[in-house]
Amino acid sequence: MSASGYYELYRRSTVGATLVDALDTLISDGRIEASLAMRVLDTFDRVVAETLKDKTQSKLTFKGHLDTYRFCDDVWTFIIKDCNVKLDQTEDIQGNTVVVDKLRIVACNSKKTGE
Amino acid sequence: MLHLSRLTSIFVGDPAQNRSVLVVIKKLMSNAAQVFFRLNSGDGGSTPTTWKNPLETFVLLVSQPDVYSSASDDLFTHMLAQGVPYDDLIHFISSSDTLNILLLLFSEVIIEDLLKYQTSKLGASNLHNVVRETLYISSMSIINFNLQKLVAAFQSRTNTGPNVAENIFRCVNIWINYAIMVRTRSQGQIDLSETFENLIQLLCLYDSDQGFPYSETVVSILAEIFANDPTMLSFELRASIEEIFLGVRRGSGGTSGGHTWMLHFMNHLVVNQSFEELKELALCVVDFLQVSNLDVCNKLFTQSANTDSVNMDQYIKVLLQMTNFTLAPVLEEFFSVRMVDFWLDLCDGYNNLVRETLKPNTPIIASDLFGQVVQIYLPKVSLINKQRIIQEGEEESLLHEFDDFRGAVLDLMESMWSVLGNEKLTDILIGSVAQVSPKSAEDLFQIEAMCFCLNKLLSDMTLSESPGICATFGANENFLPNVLLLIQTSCQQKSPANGKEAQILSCDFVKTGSSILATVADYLKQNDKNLRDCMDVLFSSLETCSNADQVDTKFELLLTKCITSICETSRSELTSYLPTFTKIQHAMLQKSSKVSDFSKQGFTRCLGYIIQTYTSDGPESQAQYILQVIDTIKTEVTNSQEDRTQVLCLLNCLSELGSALIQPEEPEDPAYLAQLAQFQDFWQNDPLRLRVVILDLLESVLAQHGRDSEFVEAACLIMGKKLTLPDDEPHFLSFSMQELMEFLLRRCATCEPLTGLPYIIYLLEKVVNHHRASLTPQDFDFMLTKFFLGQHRDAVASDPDLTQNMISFVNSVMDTRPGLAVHCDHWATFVLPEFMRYLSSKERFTISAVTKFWTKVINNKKYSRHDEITIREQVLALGPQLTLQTTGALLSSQRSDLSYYSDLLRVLIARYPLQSKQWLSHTLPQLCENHRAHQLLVEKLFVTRGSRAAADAVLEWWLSCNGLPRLT
Repeated sequence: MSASGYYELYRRSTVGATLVDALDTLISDGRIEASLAMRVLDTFDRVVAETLKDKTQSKLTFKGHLDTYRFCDDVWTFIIKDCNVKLDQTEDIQGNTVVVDKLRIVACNSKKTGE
Repeated sequence: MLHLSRLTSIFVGDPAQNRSVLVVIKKLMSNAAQVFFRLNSGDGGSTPTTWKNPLETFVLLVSQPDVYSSASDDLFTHMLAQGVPYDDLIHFISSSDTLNILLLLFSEVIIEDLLKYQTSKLGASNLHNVVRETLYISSMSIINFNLQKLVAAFQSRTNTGPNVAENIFRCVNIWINYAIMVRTRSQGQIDLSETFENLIQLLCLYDSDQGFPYSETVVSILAEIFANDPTMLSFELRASIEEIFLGVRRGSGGTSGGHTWMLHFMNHLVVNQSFEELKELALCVVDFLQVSNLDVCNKLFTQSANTDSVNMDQYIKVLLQMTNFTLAPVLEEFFSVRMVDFWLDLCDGYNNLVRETLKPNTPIIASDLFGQVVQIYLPKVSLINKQRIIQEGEEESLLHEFDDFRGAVLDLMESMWSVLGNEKLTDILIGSVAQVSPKSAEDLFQIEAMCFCLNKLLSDMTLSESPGICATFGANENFLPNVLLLIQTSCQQKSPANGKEAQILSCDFVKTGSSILATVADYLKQNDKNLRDCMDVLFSSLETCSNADQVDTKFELLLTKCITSICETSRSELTSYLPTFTKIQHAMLQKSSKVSDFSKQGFTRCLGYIIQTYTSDGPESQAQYILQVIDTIKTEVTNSQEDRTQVLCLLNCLSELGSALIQPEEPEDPAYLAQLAQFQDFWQNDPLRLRVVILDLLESVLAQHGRDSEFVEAACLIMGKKLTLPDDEPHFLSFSMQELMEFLLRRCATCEPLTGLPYIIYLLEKVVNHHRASLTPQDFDFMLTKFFLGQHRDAVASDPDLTQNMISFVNSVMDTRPGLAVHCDHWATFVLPEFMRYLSSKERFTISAVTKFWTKVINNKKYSRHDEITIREQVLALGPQLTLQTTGALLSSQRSDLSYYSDLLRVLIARYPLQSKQWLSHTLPQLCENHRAHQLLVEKLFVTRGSRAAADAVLEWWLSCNGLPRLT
């Protein structure tokens, strides 16, 4: 969890990694200080968490064999084998199912202070 | 603080006149809070602070206005350390509403700032201790006194000052947030029990004159707590809330009158149509119930719990009543919507209980309870409720919410099936659908709701292996006609003339009807009459579609999808329909037909399924049908040369036909197996010359559209259809290696490289993979020359996607038969030097592909002994350059690309440990001067095993050399 009370895990998403790359460039070019980059990322952590909570409606369902599960340091990890992931898009009646050999779900408690 | 007290005195003098001063007061309070935090942060330090309670200082300063005028340091210091007895504090806030509000505001501002402050500072635990010992006590005194005053004012029917209640609740909220934060940070507990008791008292205040002045506010406060940290409330408090919400205590016997308030409050919200508030209440109640779900489950179903069964029955009865709220879900009430989660958890909890712990009568209790839940939810998911939402003109999000609710109920049904089984759920639903004699729209809504749930249950079963369910279908003759009626009625209703409401609902009807037909396809194939009835209705419904509007198109897609499923399942049972299907397909493919492209392709696939099983008359007869389809396509292509969309659709139809003719599983039919050799021989020789016809057709189309990538894609799909199948499987698209290569070379010569070449490379990859055993390194050289180093060399080199395609092509060979690549002429002259250069690419796709390539070069289990010797020599020779190129690229790459290089370095070190240490030690100093970081990297890489640890070592080095912070 970051200093702002939000998880940092979305920094590893594509959009987060791209933001970090951009901040690296700005720091290298001497256009911003590292401390500002940190603040930007703190804000990113918060905004992603809030946006995902408040502004997303899409759902996906999945079905497969639960191979491994663990709960450590308040983080659940599930590994699901032979998994059917169904993206719930009501308009897309042609169906949207993705079949994957292995699906890893990492779930953190969203009900932390600060949110 | 002196300024604050001075401005406070001014503000209190005439609040209305001096409203603008309030902004300054707030800012001064915030500044004071910051000073207070600084003084009390850290471990106490060398100078112990005496300022422990800004609220008390504020009270003292405002109570003694002469202090600020004298501004004596000594006096002020004395005041900072001075406490205020409880009575004086209460006297202070009782003396003026404005002072009361300001003190509440000060408490709120401090805690709000503290919530922000604690996130950015370490060593705040001392501050939290100070707050807990001083500020918390004063604030609770103020808050609780104020809350009790609200109760007293209500009871004596006197007015409280304006804004007082609002300020109290704001202050309460902020303290709750702080208490939650403190709990999660293990910094001691903040007990708010007395405040909660007062809030509960306020929650229940009502009378006919004053209504429910505070209930909604308290409900929203409680809802927040239950959603975030329900255990903040002690067991006793939760028990009293349970009594208020449900009128029953699980833990103790008897009921109480608490529920009366709840009934009145709900009635009040319903009468006033306060649906938002009702929704908030539902959220609050169900979140509350979820807290004790496991406990309810144990008490209800297991022997271990010593519970009063009468009381428990009463408790469940209330929950069922609450679920069965007699309003439209989503639109008017939210209880049933939120209770889905509760019942689902309860059901899952029951399913997870150890069977030995159950009471003797538990299965009966459970099936009775969940049976009731089914009966409650069936009318709730009925589209009649969606109709009401549409009629009310509500926004679209509400419709989506209702659809989500229906989806959630399906999950619940699925879970309840584990308790109720086929006997008490599936069979009952099938029987209930059949029992309805549809006379009105309501009957159809009822049928739809049951079919909707049934579809979910049946889709998890394999009907061909469930004779019991098929027998139930058989015994309920009206089931199928009623389902078909859903489709027929919706087709009559879908016209735009019937309005938007009818269109939306008919879409749902046809979706449910067609889905369940597709799900029960295995049952349908067992009875010729059923199959015929279904196909008749489906075809006649399809005839009503003309792609007139979006709804019409959706209908057509749904019906085609259903027909495709049934044909796939009942292919052999439908062979007698072959002539009819061929005629329909012929008509559909006509240019004048209004059928959508998706349906044309879907229907051709259906026809293909049936042709695939039509083997009884030998390969010649089967081939004749295939020929008929191909002829139709060919004729239509000729007739529609200028119509790009139609021609493309026709090629896709051909591709669908090819897919449908692939056997779904190992053939078991003895009659077919007896003829297998005949079929193989037939398609090997292809006496009807279908392959020639298809090749000619493709060539003629591509002569016109060869630069259009969609045509190249479709043609490549057709040509490569057989490449994933075993060689001996009979199929009309069995092109030889030579035919395929010639086709690919012709496409390569005429295609638009940026868009068309990827499809060609993809097919080439499949060809190489399929025929790898017969290929030689010279063949591979030829392919590289023709497809990548010939006319498209510049495009491949300049376009990252094409570069990636080329590298991936080589990678696929490295995966299947690396010797082909390793021993070809281009390996040393083009592949190694060029791919070495690509390591410094800035494009992620290229980096990803090329680091994979080098990883496969260094470590490849498919190498023969000969390959291994060649590669070892080459890597040893290229090692220093490869290391320099990799580390150089790594240093200048973006942070997000580091992992690609670190994987490569890891493999290099694992495979060539002695040499790579030298290479790295020699190379790293050439990149930048950071001896310590270089040394650490080498040390770490040589002792790490996992890729994560290696990636971390690389990141440390990269950060140190680039002078960047960690950030992630």
